[in-house]
Amino acid sequence: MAERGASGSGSSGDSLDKSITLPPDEIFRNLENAKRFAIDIGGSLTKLAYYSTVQHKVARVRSFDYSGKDAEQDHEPPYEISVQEEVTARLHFVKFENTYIEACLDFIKDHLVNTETKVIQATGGGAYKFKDLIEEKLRLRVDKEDVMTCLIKGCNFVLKNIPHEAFVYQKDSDPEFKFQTNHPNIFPYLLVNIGSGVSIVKVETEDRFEWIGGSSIGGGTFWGLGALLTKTKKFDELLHLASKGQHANVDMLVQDVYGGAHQTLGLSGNLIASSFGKSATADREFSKEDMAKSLLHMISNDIGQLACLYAKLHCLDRVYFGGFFIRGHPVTMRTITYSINFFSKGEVQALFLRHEGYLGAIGAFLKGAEQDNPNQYSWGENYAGSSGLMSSSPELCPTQRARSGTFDLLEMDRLERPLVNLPLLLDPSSYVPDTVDLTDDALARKYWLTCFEEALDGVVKRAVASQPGSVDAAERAEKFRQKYWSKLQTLRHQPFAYGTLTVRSLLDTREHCLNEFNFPDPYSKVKQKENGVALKCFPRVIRCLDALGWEERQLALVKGLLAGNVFDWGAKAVSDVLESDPQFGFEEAKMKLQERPWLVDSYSKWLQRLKGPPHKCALIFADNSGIDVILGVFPFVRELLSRGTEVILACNSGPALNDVTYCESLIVAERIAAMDPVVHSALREERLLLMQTGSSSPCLDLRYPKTPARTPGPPVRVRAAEGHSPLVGRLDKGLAVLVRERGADLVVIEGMGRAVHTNYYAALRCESLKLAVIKNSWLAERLGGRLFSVIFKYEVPAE
Amino acid sequence: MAERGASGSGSSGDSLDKSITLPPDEIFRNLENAKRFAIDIGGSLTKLAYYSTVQHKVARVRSFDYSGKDAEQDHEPPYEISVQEEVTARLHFVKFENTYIEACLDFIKDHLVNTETKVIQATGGGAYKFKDLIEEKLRLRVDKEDVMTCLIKGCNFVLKNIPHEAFVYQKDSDPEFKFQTNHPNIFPYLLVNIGSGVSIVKVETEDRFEWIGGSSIGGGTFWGLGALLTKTKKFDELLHLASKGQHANVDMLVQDVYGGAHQTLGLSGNLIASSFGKSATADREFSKEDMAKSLLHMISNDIGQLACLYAKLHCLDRVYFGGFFIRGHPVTMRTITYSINFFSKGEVQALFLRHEGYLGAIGAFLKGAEQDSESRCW
Repeated sequence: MAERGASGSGSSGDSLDKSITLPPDEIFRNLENAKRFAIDIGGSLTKLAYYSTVQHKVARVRSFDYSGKDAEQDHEPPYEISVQEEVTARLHFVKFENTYIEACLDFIKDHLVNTETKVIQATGGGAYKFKDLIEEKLRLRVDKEDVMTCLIKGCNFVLKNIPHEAFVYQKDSDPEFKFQTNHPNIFPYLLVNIGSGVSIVKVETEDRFEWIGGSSIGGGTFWGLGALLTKTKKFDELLHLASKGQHANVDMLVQDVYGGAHQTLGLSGNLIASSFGKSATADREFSKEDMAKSLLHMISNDIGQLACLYAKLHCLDRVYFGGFFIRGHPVTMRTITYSINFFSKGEVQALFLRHEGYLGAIGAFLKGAEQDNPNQYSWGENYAGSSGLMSSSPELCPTQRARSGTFDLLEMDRLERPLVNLPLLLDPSSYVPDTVDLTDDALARKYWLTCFEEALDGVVKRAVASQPGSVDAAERAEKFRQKYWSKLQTLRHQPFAYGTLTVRSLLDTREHCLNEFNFPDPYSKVKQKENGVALKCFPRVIRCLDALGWEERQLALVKGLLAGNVFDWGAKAVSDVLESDPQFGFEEAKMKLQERPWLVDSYSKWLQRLKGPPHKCALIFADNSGIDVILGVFPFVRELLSRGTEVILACNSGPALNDVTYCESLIVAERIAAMDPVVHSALREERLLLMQTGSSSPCLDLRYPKTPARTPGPPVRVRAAEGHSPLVGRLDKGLAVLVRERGADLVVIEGMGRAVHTNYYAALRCESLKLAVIKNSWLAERLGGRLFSVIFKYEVPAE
Repeated sequence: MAERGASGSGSSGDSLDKSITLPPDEIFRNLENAKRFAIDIGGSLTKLAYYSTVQHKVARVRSFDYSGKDAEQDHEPPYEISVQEEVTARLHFVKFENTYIEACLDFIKDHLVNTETKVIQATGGGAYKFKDLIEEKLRLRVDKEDVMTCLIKGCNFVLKNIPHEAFVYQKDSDPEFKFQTNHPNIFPYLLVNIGSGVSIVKVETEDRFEWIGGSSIGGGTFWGLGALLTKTKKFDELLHLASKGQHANVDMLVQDVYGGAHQTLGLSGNLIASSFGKSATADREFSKEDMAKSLLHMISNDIGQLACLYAKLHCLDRVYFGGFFIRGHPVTMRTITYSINFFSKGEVQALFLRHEGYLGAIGAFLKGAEQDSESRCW
C-alpha cells in the first residue's frame, strides 16, 4: 500500500517474526510528538491509538506594507508569500498481531521522546493480560477502560466523522461495495463485533447501550479451526485459501440430501444443509481451500443469522459489523449479507465498516481524551496515511494483503473548523455531492485514474518549482510521486479502498499526499503571479463592462465568469496551453468558449430573472485564482452589489491546485477595493463578506464538508483604505450561520470541480446558478459536447 | 438408549461395514410378518419403521371344568395353566448409518416373507436420493412423505403416547434426567430437529406448523469436523472422545481474555469467549478428546442459542429437541440446556426426547397408517 511505496519494499509482512525491525517512518508515524495513548488488545490483534502533532509547512500570503516609502514602489507581485511551519493535530491508529506486541512496545518506548504522557488507556481482553508488560515497557500507568463502552464510543465516532464509513455489500455488482452517506441520526442500531468471539450490542444513544448477546463462534474459531484443519497459521492466508475453495465439496447441500431444491420448505438446492456434512462419511481427503471456504461459510452464516434474530427481537433494522474478522473479505461479507437477507426476508440490513477493527482503540482514545473533548471537533480521514480496505481479488496483491494482516494504519486529521451542512440544501439526507460514482462506473474510473496518472509528472514538476530554495524539494517530490502513484494503483484494483471513489476523492488524496511531503501549496507562486497580472487588468475590464448597455453587460459578465474559468491549472488541457503560451489572455479565453446555445443553457431564464427584483443575498463559491476570481467573479459580484444584492464570497480555507484561498481572497479584495469604490463601500458596509468554506478541496461538499482543511492560520489583517478592518470580525462566524442570518436566496457555484464533478445535481432551497467550462474532452463528450463546452445551469426550486 | 437395550447389543453400529452380515434376530426383528414400512433417510442415518406381529407364548389360566365328573375330583390347584401362542401387534424402529443402506435393504428383501405390502412411506432427504434403490431392492413403491409433516406427526405422537417421553436435563443432579409427565395439551411448542443440519419448526396444532429457521451447524458438522480433526470416523466414538476431553485446552475462555470474569458485562470467567480460539496461535498439538469436546460445546451452544432466540421471537417457552445428534449424550444436553438458560435467562425450557431420532420414521409410518384410520393407543 501507501506505506509500501515509501519504503520501496512490499514483502516486509511476510518476513516479519517476533524480532522484527520496524520501519519507523511507516508504521508508528509521528511518535516523537505523541501525546496520548490508547491501546486495544483483542484476542489476536493489538490496535494502538495515539494523538500527535504534525509539523507542516504552510504557505502564507501577506500584503506588502504600503505605508511609508514602499508604497511608492511598483511591486510586481500583489502580495508576498512566505512558507511557515505550522502544527496540526492528528490521530494515529495502528494495528498489529499480538505476537509483535513486545517488539512494538520496545519500539514505541525508544521513540517516545516527549514523555509528558503518564497514562495509557487500555481496553480489550488483553488490557488485563498485558497490563504488566505495558507498564514495564512504556513506563506508563495502564488505565483499563471497559471494552463495550470503548467499542460503542468508537463506532459512534466513525459513523459520525468518517465519510463513507459504512457500506452494504451487493452481490454481483462491480464493485460489490455500496457506501452509505453519513446520516446525522445514527441511533438506534445493532453492533455485532466479531473479534475472537462475537459480541452483540444494542446501541440506543451516545451513552446508552446494552450487551444483548454473543457467540463463541467468531474470528478465533475461523482462525483456530482453520489452523487445525489446514496447518495454516496465518489468518490472512486462511482467508486467501478460503477465497479459492469450493465449499460444496465439504458441505452437505440441500440438493445432496433432497436431490434438488426442497419444494415444501422453499429451500434452494444450493443451501447448506450441513456444514462439513460430507466429511463425516466420505473416505477421502479434502483440500485445504475447500475446508477453509466451508469454515468461513459456516461461521459467517451463523453470525448473520444470530445478528438477524437479535435485530428482530429488538426491532432494529440496521446491523453494523465491527471487529477484525471481516477485513473487507468478500466471501465473508457476501455470506453474512446473504444470511441476514435470507433469515430476515430483507427486513434487516447488514452494514460493514471500513474501520471495523479500530472501534475499540478509537473509543479508548476518546475516553482518555475526554478532557480535550475530541467530539467537539470535526475530524477527517487522511488518505495519505491510511491503509485502504482490502481487495476482493487477493491474488492481485498478495504482499499487500500479507502486509495488511500484520500492520494496518488509519490517520485522522483534526479539522480546524467545525463543519456543518449548508442550510440551503433542499434535502440534506438525500444530497450526494458527487456527480459520478467511480466505484460504480468502471469506464469513468479507468478514464480518471489514467488522467490523474498522466497529470502526475506535471504536479511533481510544479511542486518542485514552488520551492526553489529548498534543497530536498526534488527528493520530497519524488516521494510524493511514489505515494500518490501507489494510491492510484491501489484504487485501480480496489476502487472501494477509501469509500466511494470520486473525482473529488482522487483530488483530495492528491492534496493529502502533497501535504504529507511538505508541499503545502505548489501553485502559490503561479497564483501570486496570475493575481498580479489580473489585478492590473481589472480597471480596464470594469471600464469596458460599464460602457455596455444593461442587457449586453449581463451577457458579458457571464461570459467573463466563464472565460475566467478557463484558467485552470487543474485541468490538463488548460495547463498544457498555459505552460506553452503564457500570453494566453482573457480575450482569447472568451474566443475559446462555445457560442450560444451552450451545452446547458438557461441564460435566457437568468436574464429574465435579472429584470425582476434584486436578490437579497448571493452566496458565491469561487474557483480559481487570478483571472477567474479577479476578472470573472469580482465584476459579477460588483454588478450584484450595484443591484442591491448582498454578496458572501466563499473561498477555500486551505490551498488546492490554483484555487483561490480565503487568505488570498482577502488580499485580492483589498486591492480591488482600492481601485473600485463599489467594492470598497460594500466591504466597509459589510454588504460584501468574504468567508472560508472550511474545505481545501477543488470540489465542494455542501452537506458534510469533511475534507481536512489545511490550517487557514491566524486571520490575516486586511487593510482597508481607512485602516479599518471590517472583515476580521466575521472570521469566527460560520459560513452556515451567516448564510442563514443574511437570508441568502441565490447560490452561485463556479467551476468544474464544484459545479460539475460535484453538485451538478444538487437541489437547493433557493435559486442557484451553476457555471463551468468543460476543460476535459472526455467529460465533455460524456455530457454530449466538445472541449470548452459551457454549462450554464440556472435553477429555481419548485414552489 | 432404549432401542439399544431392546436389541441387546450396543456395539452393532461399530462393527458394521458395507458388506456386513447382519444378525437378523437382533436388528430387523420380526421381519417375516412385517406389514407396513416407513423409512426416514436423513443426511447420515436411516431410520426404518415397520409394523409387525409378534407371536408370543402366553400363559393362560383356566378354571377347571367343575361340571361333569371332574367336579367330583378334588383338584389341588384351583385352576389350570396352559401355554398358548398369541399374536400381538408391534411397531419396530431401527436405525443404521446410510452407508449400510444397500446391505440393509438386501437383508430386508431376503427376509420379507409376507409380501402383501406394496408401498413404503419414505421421508427425510434420502427418500429422494435413495428412491430408486429402495424401489429396486424392495420392489415396493416409494411414497414420499414431507419431512416436516412426518417429523411433527412423530413428535406429537411420542409426546402424547409415550409416558415420560420428554425430560429436562438437570446439571449436577442425580440422576440428571427429570422426566415430564405428559400434558394433554402439548401445543404450541418449538421443535428443534438436529439431524445433519438443524431445522427449527414452530408447532401450533396437530396440523399447523411452520419451518421458521435452520442452521447448517448440526450433527453432520460435529461428525464431519470431528472426523477431520480426530481421524475418528464414527459418530459415537467422537461423542466418546468428547466425553473425556477438556474444552478449555482448546477454547479461549472469558478468563483467558480478561484474566477473570468480565464484571461490566457480568460474564463468568469460564464462559467460552472463542471456540477453538486457543488453537489459532498456540504452537502445539491438541488432543483428540479436547478438540472433540470443544466441537461438541461449540455446536450445542450455538443450537441452544438459536433455539432460544427463535422461541423468544415466537413467544414460545418450550423447546423440544429431536434428531439423532443428541443421543442422550450428557455433555450435549448439558450444553444446550445451559445455553438456553443463559440466553433466555431461564424463560425458555429445553426438553429432550427419549425417542428423538425416530420422529420422522414414526411420522412417516403414521402417515401410511392413516389409510387404516384405526385409532390405537400404543
